[in-house]
Amino acid sequence: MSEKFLQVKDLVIEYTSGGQVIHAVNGVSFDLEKGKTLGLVGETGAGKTSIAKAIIGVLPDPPAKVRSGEIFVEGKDLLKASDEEMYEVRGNKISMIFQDPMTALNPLMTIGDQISEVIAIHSGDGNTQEAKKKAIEILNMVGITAERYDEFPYQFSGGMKQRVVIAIALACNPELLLADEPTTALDVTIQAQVLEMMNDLREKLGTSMILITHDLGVVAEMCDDVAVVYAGEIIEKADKVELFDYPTHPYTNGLFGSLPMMAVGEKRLHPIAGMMPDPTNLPEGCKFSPRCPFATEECRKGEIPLREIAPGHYCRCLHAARKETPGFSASAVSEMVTAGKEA
Amino acid sequence: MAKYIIKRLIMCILVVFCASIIIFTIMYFVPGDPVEIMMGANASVEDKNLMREQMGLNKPYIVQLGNFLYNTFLKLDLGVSYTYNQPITAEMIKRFPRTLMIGVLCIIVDVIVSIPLGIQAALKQGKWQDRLSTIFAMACVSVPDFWFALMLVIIFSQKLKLLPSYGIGGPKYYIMPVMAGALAGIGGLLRQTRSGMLDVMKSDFVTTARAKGVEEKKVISKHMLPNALIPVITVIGGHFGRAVAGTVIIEQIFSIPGIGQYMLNAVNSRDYPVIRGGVVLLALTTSVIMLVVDLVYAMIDPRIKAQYAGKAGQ
Amino acid sequence: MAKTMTNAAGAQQVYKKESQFQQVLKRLSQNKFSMVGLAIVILIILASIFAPFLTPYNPDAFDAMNSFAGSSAAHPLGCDKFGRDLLTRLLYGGRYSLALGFLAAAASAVIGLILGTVAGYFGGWVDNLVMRFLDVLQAIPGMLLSICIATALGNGFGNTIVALSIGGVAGITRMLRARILSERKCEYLEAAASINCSTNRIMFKHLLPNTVSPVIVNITMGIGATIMQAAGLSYIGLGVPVGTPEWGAMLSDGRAYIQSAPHLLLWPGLFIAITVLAVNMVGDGLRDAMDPRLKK
Repeated sequence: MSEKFLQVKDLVIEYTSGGQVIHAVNGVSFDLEKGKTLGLVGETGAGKTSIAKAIIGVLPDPPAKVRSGEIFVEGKDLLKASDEEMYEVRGNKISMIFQDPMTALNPLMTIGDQISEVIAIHSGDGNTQEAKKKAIEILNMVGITAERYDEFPYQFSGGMKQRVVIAIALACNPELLLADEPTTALDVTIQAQVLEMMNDLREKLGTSMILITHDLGVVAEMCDDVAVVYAGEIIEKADKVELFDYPTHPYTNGLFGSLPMMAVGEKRLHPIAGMMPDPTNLPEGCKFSPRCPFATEECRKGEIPLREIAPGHYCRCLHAARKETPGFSASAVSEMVTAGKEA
Repeated sequence: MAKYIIKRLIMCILVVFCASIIIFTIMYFVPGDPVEIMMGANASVEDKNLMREQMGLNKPYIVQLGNFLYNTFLKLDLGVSYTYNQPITAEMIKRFPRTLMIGVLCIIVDVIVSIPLGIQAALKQGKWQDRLSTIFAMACVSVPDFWFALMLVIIFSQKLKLLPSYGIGGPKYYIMPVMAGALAGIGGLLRQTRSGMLDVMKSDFVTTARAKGVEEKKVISKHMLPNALIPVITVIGGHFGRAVAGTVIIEQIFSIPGIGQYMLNAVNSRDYPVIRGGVVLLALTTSVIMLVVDLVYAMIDPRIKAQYAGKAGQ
Repeated sequence: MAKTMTNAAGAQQVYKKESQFQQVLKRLSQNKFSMVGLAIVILIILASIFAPFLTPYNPDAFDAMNSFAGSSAAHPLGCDKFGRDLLTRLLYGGRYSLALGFLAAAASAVIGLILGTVAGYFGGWVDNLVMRFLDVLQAIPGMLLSICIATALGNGFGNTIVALSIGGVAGITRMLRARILSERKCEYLEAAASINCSTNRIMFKHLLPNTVSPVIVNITMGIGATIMQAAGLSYIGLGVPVGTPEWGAMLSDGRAYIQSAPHLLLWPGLFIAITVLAVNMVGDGLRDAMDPRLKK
């Protein structure tokens, strides 16, 4: 096995808003091997974006605050790094693709300048000519012609903007790419293109990636490992094939139940009943217990540990047991989701 | 772009032309007979009638309006002052630079004081610096400028004997008038800068910039500020107009021989061609300034620039 | 992310049914800053209404013995040239200054609301006509327009209100029109229509609350500005008749004695400044209370 490139340990993030404390991330731990892709899956508001922003150090403070935890990249704790050290890391070693390409670009700067800015910062010599040349190369790489270098974001469509955002993220050959729902804001037809492009580039550059999404189809296509996040906790994690074959946590099963599985001949979807718990007032014990059909008295008290139920397959549930026969195969989900979208 | 500028310039002149009609109409109803003012009680009735005839005062409203517009806009002649019997245009030209100077200085002071304070307030949002600047901004817009001017005179001229209290001369003469004139603008600009910064600070593109490894100082100067200042520019335009017009009372207090003082003296003597001329001139100045600000705005914001270029091309 | 989480949290709670007005009042009452402002405004209004009970002097009674008297137990703020008690005149003067500010602001609000609604509702050439007229009106700086009108109408309380109110019309009209136009496009109106909301209900339950709140804030802020302009007009001799105990006119009266009796200039201006500040404090709190989204 290759080295542990990224290790996140017991990360706790809180937001303070109007005197209330929002528990966004509550003790998240995971690691990522070099060159692999980890999918963080969960509903909107589960804390996925906060995890990614904490890794790259751009959590808005105030209101957000990392209460405790460690984030090691090649053995170095980023949370203890100085501002100067982090300037070096950001955009260079680690970079991030943001969710909404419509707002992620500075409206007053040309596309080209926004790409060459990151190159110039990290090339060290401040040679703008050289940076411009490289920026044009990268533009070409994401499929944008050099003539558009001097154009402004408003002249680009959403999909093209996302290409620019990806170009910025990949400009310095990062070792770790954080992709926060990179395709959610895009049209379905563009989504596939962008994902394919990301995959190609990532393979070419050998980048590790954390892919944040709520789209299991995207996970099936892109990821090696999957972690399911609920109310700021990882409730289940495993490699993709294992998780898709043996989803164990009731919430994970619920997620699969909400997929439109046309091929299986299901007549209707099975959405998860209820809502995410109030992050200012999380339930004791299992955070999912208020919505869980299997919850018992003991689920509602104490910490529920993350148990290893099969080699490399962890689940935070007292009752769920790994099934004997595989449920969903990743490739099948991928196909079904694509089929469902096209229909 | 050139087409657009010309179009806007024509619009601007048209608006001032219509504004002049409104001003003329209002001033037409000023009570009192200018001929009585000019010739006094001793002149004979015949002389007075002759005078009315010469000045065209016995003509119907519409003819007088036509004459006024013709003289003002084609001959650039604002008429003759009733009290001084002097051509108004010449007097205005002599006085205009002083009024403009004070207006410009006021805006410069506004910008220098309020933009850094507004940025600081936004960066320290919710902390004491922010609260203090909120109170400061509110105090600035709540204090009447002419009273503030009087207080300055009492403190700096009478008590401390540091600054001259009237007239025009070296830079010292400008300090108090500009302080008083800049007051209201500081409050407005400060608040606008603050809220512009707060909007931008939350923007995704700022996070993008940070994620690129841009140093915080540069994130502020290169990414936040230009975007935050765009709405501020429009506000500066509005304040510029107000500052130029606001110099009216300030000039009176500091006896600065500008357009405002000329007009206010005319108010007391019901010398309405002077008032009319002054208002038309200041309205034109304000409109031109607003136009320039609009164009600057368009130059800075590529989105607006493209929109305008597109419009002009149609 | 924090935002979406609170939204999710909010949806779970069952809100007590409160009208928007009640909510605004509740939020406003929690704003200490604005409550202080409101208290000052009420205090000044009451003091000027009940001035005869608060002071033993007649604001217009001459007293040659006390000409330019400084502050003393009998005359806390001193006296003017004619020996009239300054505090008395300031209290009585509040009636003029406040009434001018409130009435002129109300007058421009009414005209502005009518013009804005007409322009926003009818659109087309009506809208065009109104807006072009406002363009022309706004080309003349507000104070200069007031000076022209006041010169034409002459001194007087009613004339001053007319002169002051015209200046505020354009701002309110533009704001209301813009709000109506943007709200008319909003999807929530279509949503309301799609569940068979009656036109009246849409107008009063949905459109009005969303368009009117910024206008109310604008009007409140306008009161402060108008009080100041009223004082300005009176100061240059175009407002209320000379000798009226209006704050601006008192400043004008005291101008000649800036060297010998600076207290005649200090106090009236301070009264104006405090009143305007207090009104603006209320307006500021009202803005935050009306639209919590704006609060930053």
